[in-house]
Amino acid sequence: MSTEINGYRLTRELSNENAGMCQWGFAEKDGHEYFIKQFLKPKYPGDDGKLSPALVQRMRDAAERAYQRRKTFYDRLRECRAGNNVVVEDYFRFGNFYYAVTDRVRGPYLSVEEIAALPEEKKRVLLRAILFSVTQFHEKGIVHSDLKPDNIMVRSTAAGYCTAKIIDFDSGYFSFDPPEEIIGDQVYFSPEALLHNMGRETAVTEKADIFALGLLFHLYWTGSLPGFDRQEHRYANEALLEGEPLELDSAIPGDVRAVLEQMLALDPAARPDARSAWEALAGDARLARTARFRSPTDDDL
Amino acid sequence: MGSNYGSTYHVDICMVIDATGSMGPLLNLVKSNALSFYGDLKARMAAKDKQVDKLRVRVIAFRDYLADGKDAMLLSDFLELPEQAPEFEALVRGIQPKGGGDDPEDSLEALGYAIKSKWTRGGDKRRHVIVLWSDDVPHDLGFGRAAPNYPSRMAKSFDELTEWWGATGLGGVMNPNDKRLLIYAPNKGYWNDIMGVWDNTLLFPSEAGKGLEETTYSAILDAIANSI
Repeated sequence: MSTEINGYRLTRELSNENAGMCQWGFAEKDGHEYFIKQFLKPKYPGDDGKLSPALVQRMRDAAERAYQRRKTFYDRLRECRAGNNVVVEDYFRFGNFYYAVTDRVRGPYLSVEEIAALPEEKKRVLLRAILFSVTQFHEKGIVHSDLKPDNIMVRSTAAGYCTAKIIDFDSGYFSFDPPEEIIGDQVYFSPEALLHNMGRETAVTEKADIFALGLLFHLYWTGSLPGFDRQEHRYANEALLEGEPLELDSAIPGDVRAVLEQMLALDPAARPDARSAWEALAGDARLARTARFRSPTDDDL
Repeated sequence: MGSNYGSTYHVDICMVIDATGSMGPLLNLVKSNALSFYGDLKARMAAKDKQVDKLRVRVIAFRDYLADGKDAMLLSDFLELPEQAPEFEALVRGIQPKGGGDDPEDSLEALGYAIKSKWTRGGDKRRHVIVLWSDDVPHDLGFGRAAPNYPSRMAKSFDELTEWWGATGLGGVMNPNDKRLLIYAPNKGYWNDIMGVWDNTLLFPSEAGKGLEETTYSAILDAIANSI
């Protein structure tokens, strides 16, 4: 008999395979397939353990406070379905553990090599589709923080184009409230995220995602990350902070390369926002600026 | 690598090993895993374009205070790998399965020592990882208090030990972002409680009569490599 968690019947038992400090599996509920993740922090002590009631209560209160903070984030994220963002549909406690549930994204997925081999036009459409999805949560103040090939599931469509679903927002945060330690993949870390984790005072906003996308898009376009002296530096962020420019592949068309160069700027303020990059990749050689209509405010009168 | 901005990763691993007689064949596998750990972790991280700048390992071998006297709790300092690999190897190979008295062991005291390790403060990013292997459940803390070498400063209760480990919003001895606890032990007694209550803790349930499976060892490596 399979395990059931809050009405979700596991079709693949939980494990930490390729996941570090969480456990994940697949589940089914009401005929729908889901991905389910069990978090290992916080935990909620039960009544039947060996701790004193006083400590149990303190730990429960702290866990519930952490849960409520995270729930606010996932609730806001659910407003960002437009595009192809795989948002958390359900976030709950069951027993000692907290769980997040998303739709299950089914493969087969394209590899980086397969994406790099696509015709230019299709790659351009793919990059714009990703930027459109990113625009949805960036404009709500949400930073994904872990954009990398593993977290963007690219599939072919019947028409021969690609769709890209963005998954795993569990390292994400509101840009006004970054965590003490930014969680993400070092390879795709922005320079400011690196400095933040080194204890320097620096804002790590949506522009950190833009930097990660700059690297990722170069990878998608060419099959490899931008060049830098790998004898001296392990990651692109280190190279930039040391004043070494990243070398973009000259085979990338000029207008796309111009956008990527700006996305990979050392200064976050010099990077375009997701919408501007999306507009710029429409084929216009000039990078679109952020002039847009807005709603009037009291200051307009 | 001469970068001023190179984010450096320092990883400390405290291996807590049940060295009682019942561990027998399993201990050989644990020792073999311990000895190949550095190479396997390095390879797994390299596959993800990541690397550890400094890896230190210490070993705690535990038995029972009442039954095993001075051999009840054996601690090493941290050893730097790969530089001190020969010393580490000699240390691990020297662990012999013996003693243990009754079925449960003084593993909570061993965890207490592990939590209070002198964890590295170096590097820009750190992981402080405790990996514990045992084939049985722990005694209550203080079960061996009558032994002359029982530590007077050990946590007095499971509450106190839990507070040493810490919890979300409640502090603790170890840095909450850095700490990880991986337990390979039966899914019952205190181990079950710890998995259900302690943050950043993962229990790989062992089954009676079965050894440490390759998948479990791989999962332990995953838990470290993927969280860096």
